[in-house]
Amino acid sequence: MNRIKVLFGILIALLLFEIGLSGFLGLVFYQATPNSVLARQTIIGRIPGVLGGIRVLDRTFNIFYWGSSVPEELPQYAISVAPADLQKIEEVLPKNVPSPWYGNVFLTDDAKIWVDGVFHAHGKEYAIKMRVRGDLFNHWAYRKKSWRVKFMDELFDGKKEINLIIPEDRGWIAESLNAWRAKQFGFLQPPMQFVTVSLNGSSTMIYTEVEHWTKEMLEKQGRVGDVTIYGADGGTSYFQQWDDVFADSAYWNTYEERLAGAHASFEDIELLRSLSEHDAHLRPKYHETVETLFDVDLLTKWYVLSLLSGSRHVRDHNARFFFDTSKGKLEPVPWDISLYAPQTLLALPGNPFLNELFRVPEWKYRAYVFLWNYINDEERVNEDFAYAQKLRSLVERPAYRDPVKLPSNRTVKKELDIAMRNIRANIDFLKQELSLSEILVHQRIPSKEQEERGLLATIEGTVRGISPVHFAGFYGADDLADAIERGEVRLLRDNGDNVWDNDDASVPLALGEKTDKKNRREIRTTDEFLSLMAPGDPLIGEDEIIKGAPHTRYTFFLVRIRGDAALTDADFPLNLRMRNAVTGEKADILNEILIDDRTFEHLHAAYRSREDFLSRYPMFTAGEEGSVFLRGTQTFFEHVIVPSTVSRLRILPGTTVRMGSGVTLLSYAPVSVAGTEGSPVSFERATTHPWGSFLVANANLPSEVRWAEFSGGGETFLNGIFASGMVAFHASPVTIRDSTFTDSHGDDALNIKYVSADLVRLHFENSYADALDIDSASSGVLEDSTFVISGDGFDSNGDGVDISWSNIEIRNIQIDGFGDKCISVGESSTLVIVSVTLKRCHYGIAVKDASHVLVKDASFIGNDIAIGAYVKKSIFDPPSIMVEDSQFEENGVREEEENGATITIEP
Amino acid sequence: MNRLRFATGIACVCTVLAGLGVLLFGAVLYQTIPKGDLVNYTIIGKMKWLPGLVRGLDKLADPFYRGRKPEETLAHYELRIDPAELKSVERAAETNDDVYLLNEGADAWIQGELHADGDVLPIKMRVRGTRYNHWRFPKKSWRIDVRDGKLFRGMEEWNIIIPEDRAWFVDALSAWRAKKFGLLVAPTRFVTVSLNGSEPMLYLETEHWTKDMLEKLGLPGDANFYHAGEVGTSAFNPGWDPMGEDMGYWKKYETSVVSPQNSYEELEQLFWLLKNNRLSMEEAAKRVDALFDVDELARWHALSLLAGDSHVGIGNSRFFFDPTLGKFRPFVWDIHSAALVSLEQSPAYEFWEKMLPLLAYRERTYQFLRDYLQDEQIVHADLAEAERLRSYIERAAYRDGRKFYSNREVKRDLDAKMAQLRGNIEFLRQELAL
Repeated sequence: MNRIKVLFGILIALLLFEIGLSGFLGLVFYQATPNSVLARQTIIGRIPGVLGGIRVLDRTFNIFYWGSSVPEELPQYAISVAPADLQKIEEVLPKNVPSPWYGNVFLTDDAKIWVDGVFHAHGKEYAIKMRVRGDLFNHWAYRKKSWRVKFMDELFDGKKEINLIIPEDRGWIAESLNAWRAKQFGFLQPPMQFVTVSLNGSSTMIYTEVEHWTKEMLEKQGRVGDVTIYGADGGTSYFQQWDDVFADSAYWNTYEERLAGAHASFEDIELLRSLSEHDAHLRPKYHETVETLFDVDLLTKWYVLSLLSGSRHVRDHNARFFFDTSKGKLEPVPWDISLYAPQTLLALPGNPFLNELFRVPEWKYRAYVFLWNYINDEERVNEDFAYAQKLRSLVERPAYRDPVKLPSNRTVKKELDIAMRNIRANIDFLKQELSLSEILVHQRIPSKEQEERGLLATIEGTVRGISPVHFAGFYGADDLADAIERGEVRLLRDNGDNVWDNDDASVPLALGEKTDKKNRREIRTTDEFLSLMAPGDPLIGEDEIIKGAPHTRYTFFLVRIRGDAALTDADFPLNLRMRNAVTGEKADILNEILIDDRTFEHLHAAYRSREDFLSRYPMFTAGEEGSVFLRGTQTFFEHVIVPSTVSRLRILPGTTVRMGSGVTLLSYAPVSVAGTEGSPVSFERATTHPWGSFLVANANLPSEVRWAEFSGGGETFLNGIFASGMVAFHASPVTIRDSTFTDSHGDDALNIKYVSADLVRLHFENSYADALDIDSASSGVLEDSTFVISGDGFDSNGDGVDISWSNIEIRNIQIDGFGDKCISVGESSTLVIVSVTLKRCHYGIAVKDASHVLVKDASFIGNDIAIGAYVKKSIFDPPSIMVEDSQFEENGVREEEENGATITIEP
Repeated sequence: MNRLRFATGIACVCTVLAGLGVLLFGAVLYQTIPKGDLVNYTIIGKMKWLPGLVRGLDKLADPFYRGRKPEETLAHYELRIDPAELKSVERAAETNDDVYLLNEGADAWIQGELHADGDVLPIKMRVRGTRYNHWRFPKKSWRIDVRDGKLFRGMEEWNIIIPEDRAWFVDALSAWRAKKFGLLVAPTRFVTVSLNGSEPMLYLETEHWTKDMLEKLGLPGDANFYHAGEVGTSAFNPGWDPMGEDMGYWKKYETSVVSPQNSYEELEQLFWLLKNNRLSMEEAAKRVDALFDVDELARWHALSLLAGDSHVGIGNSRFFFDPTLGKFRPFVWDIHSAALVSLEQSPAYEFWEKMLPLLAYRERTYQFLRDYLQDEQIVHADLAEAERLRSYIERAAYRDGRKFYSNREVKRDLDAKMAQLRGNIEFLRQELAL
């Protein structure tokens, strides 16, 4: 019995837990599924009375909403219409979507039937005709409808025709606030006010009354009445809900037609349409045409009006223009702007005309400046808030007391709260957005060829927004500032082709008073538009979702027109002044990098064809199987680059190559320097200055050098390759025999890297620093060679042989007189050294950094330290050296070991 | 009595049916509602304790996972750092809701000591890694810097990275392959680390991109070493910088001393290639030839394909420009694994199409892979290394009590990665007609 009771209790507890769990899962399902899906696509929507019940439940709380008292009494109207007529209207209203291309149930022309009625106001009666208005179902599908009322016999308060619009369609207070702002900006606006209306004795209903687009409306506002007012609409084509008025002018409607002009023609609209085509702003005369047809100031304010409301609602179907015949201009009438939560300014303005218009940087800039001034004018912003509050208090209580409206009072309050919040949020957000002005800056140092043409620097700015960047100027040394003052140097704004040419516009410059930390003088740009860099279109995804900020590149060239102004390496990077064009604050420079166009100026020469090479350097001759050869005496005053397309460079016996100051011969092809004992090949200087290098780089096939004499060279930096050797083989296998290297001026007389050593019978003399540098030779040999410093008073502080990352054998060499080491071994090298004479160096042999050396049969004579072993770079382990069967004579110190290094000397 | 029994029977049936119904409902919800929606739009997102509870339940089975005993012992060291500073960093990291580490307090350096093999070294360390998995949870990835000019195993600066971020053993296997293929890779190994006396935690240790690291590899240390992969440079991109859009988003770890300026023209050459719609295929190929060792690129491509071609691309790029050759050399870095389903639709195919613009260039990759994969001995060694690395870390991973994942998940991941490695080898053999 008890067990059953316990079991029963457990089962009930489990059941309750399961009920709780299913409730939890139901809540999760409800939260994760959009309400519209629940209502339309699930069984919930099909259960009779569920949605209605929810609505009734919602409305039960209506009585608890009061709102503040209305500061001024709203106009009250009463309308009488025969119930049968109302029934007739109801019957013809659309019930279904007109075509599968439409998104909504739409008011088609056959449903726009007029009925007679009587309008009561101010104790007077007016005969009227009225019909429902508004394209979308929310205006007429429910009990409370939007109406168009036409006064038949006499004007009502000077009005011929009015619209009574359900205020929730106009964001309750949003449209009235927008209309108020628009009037302040100088736009034509149809008069608008909140009214209460009783239809056939119904309870009073709150409406937004808007005077219709009539001649009377225009004339009352001091405008020409006989003009054409253009409006866009929808429902014309089976294939789209809203008329694509920017695709074809025939979609436009007219509300009034002008008297001037022979026919009711649409040439102004046709012009508007052509100005709205994509990239129209790039066409010649676009600016002039816009300025002729429009007041551009007003257009920028139109955009600003939208931005203040976070709006992109200036869509095709909300466009209204009237052609003012007195000015000959088409004037926009802001309409149905609404009010939204803040949206980034990166978004396009809304319709093709405005989108195109504000692709023009200076107009976008003008709009932003106007906007910035507006939102930072405390008084103005407070007026906005006060007016919005007034509108709310005008509409709130009557709205709560309107029992015919569709939304519950809870919804009304929520929407009013959101509207008030959005007004403030938009202003705060716009301040944040406009304060953002990002730019990435590249400064280019011109190539030698560009510099000779007069290009001093190229400045590339990539802007992202939001606000445009103003290139306010830069700081320059006195010489440059003086040259600018004399008009010898100009700043040019590239026309978009990235090439400095005559089509680029000159940006006026003036000297300022300031100096920077390096005491360079301020040079200011003085044309705000020519120095403006505005962001282009953002990346836009489906449904106009902004996927990313743009990267819009602008280029400026600093050029020498005449004179001898120049920039040196020390002048770079230039100190540029980039400002947020709207706020005047410093722009946010995300990064600023230098690009040195000198480095790869000759890169194309690395892979040009052999024919191009031969035509460029006629002193070379085509050889067999794709090779080229050089002979005789040749002098080069510019770099020679042998491309990789050449199979081999052959330098024939007896050739003398005379090299100008700093000139390098760089070969990407393997070389054969084929001197003979009687006719050696010679590289020598052609001037009193050192030449660069004889460099072979990245040539996979073996090179060879025989009976060659190199003298007077230094080092080079060409095509991104730095060669420290007068003669250098980088990643290019080579055999060198019977050659001499004298009077080198760079770090090394001969440098081989990343290849095996195969060096025999070489003579090095009077190298400025190291004589032979071997890096990363996995194997090989150096033998039968001599290294001497013999010149009178020649002071070398280098090494005879400098080895790193290598595993080679050295045999039978003599080294004499080097200021540092006769042989230096470092960076994990392993060497066997046999039969060497190391004389009068600071170190005879120095072994460093995880290197290990075995020395046999060596003579150490007159060195400061015969053998040293130590760790130079602490990232390496200690080195070791074993010396066998060697002689030591007149050395200062025989051995010196540090940091755990090991020296072992055996007799 | 009978009524009670009857009611109990009814309750039993109801409980079973309701239980089944709830289970079914729950399963349907779980399968149909995107996880993001569950977290973002429902009450589940507010139940911060729920993931912890689920994870805690999952970890109950941890003791049953043991793993094989490794043949070698993992290196171990101990970090002792200021607990107050550690707490402050942990608090800052926990309160950061961003996916990326952007709050300042969380990347503060903490002073401390490293104890290893009887030596004590002064260090400072900070959390490292861009995505939240590196720093939000108790076990974090760290950058460690030895102070006072001292070195630890020849390193001044290195990273210890949570191994799950590097696909457990896959990145280490890629590093092993990279060395075998003659590619550049930062010194990498697995270690266990105790933090302020904690139980040993498994980490992947990689030396940082320093001049010393370059020189130890026999490369010039004073050279431009470019990297992409910063976050939050622009207000418009709170996540990864759009590295392909502008060179201004790139940075250097090391800077050349031979070029006259600290400049980026080398990178611009690379940009010309990556945006190769500016260049004809032939022109691009010539530039690739001039700026890269095409064979090296092909080997990098091969390495990438073996791992499923995932995670290779501009975002994980580390390009060293060797001024002695005038060429870029890529560093293999952060190669993940994925199941390769097609050569031409592999995740990084677009990148390789730009880096190896000619079919003949890509054919070098395929030939390299053919040579690699048709040699049974090589493949055997490759898989053996994967197995070795797995067994090297598996037990340590299971015993790491501070890791985020449960041992069940670790095992599942390890099994999946092994299967992917084998699968990719088989797939490539088929694709390359071996």
